[in-house]
Amino acid sequence: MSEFARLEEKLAKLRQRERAAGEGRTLRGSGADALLAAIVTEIDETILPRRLSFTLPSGAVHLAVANRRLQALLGPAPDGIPDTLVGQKLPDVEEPAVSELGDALKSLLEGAGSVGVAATRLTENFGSDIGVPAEQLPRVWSVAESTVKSPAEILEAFLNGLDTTSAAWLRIEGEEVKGQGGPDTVVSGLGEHAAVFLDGYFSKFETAFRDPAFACGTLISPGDTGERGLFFVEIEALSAIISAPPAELLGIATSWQRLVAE
Amino acid sequence: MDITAELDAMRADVRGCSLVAYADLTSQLVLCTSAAAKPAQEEMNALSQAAQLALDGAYAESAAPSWGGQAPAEVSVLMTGSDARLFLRAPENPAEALMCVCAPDTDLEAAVTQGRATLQRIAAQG
Repeated sequence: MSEFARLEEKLAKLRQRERAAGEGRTLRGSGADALLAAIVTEIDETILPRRLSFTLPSGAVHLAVANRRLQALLGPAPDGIPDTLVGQKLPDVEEPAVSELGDALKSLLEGAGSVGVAATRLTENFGSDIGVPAEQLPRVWSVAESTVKSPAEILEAFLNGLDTTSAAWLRIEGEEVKGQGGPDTVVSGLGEHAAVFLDGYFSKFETAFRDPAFACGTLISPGDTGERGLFFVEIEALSAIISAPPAELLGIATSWQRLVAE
Repeated sequence: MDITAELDAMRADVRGCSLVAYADLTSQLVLCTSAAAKPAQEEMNALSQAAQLALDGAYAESAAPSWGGQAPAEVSVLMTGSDARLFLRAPENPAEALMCVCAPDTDLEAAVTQGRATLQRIAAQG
């Protein structure tokens, strides 16, 4: 049984009342090119047949995606997208409609700032070999490949930067503790305290964070009077809890913000 | 300086700070506000609810065992990629707190230092 069995059991219960599966997220980027690159990344990360819905200021754009391929633009489409593109199969990158769709998306993304994204099951069947591979889209759409780090890379960079002579951390993925660092005695205690903290954290999450966010950080400290305070971070389905002396916590929180700030 | 002037001064001194307010945690009542643009009442209600949660409510209570549970939470920060909300308990009036809304890249250590000094000056005014 895991050293953190109690925490993992608690996480399993808490996750049941977390945000529903398929709930929307937000893509952010400075400019249409960056947002279009983020959309390409979404396509590249979609293997099962999905309807990816991107919410823009001018309306929602729905894409049929499977096997990391863009298969079609689905209806309804916002103004600014030619009707001829809606529902048209995109068999490969040579199809002129692929380039036309890229131009239309870029135009719609101008000045957007952020784009909501949600994935649902795809009801249309275009065939598994149909579609433009995501890796070919940056060239035909004239956008740089996304250099945005993945949530796992961001969390890893953050945890690797901690001074583990004083700070202790647990890395949590889903319902399992996937990593730990810091003084053994503090890590052991953190496992116990994390279960209690997460119970309170998830029970009032909507009061603390009203708007959906790509990443959240929560610092609670007794100030200079206490030996330790807590910092809990969430990024997509990954999270970590850190225990550190109060004098170090604000610096730790600042380093997190540098990694996730828009 | 009156409380409003103290909050104005703090907002000017902390880079990226768009709002500073002084609130009663028990009643979740905002007593005084300094803001770049007048905030909506709904926004202030949400901010004071978050302050209560983080310094006295479920977040503070569930974090307290990690430091032995004797002392109350003094500092809390709720962060997203678009902002950092800082809550700082008043040492002389533990039921009251300073609330700040800052840009995500605000220097939190500097903001807390400024916040503590502001709270001391407010307390000194009686």
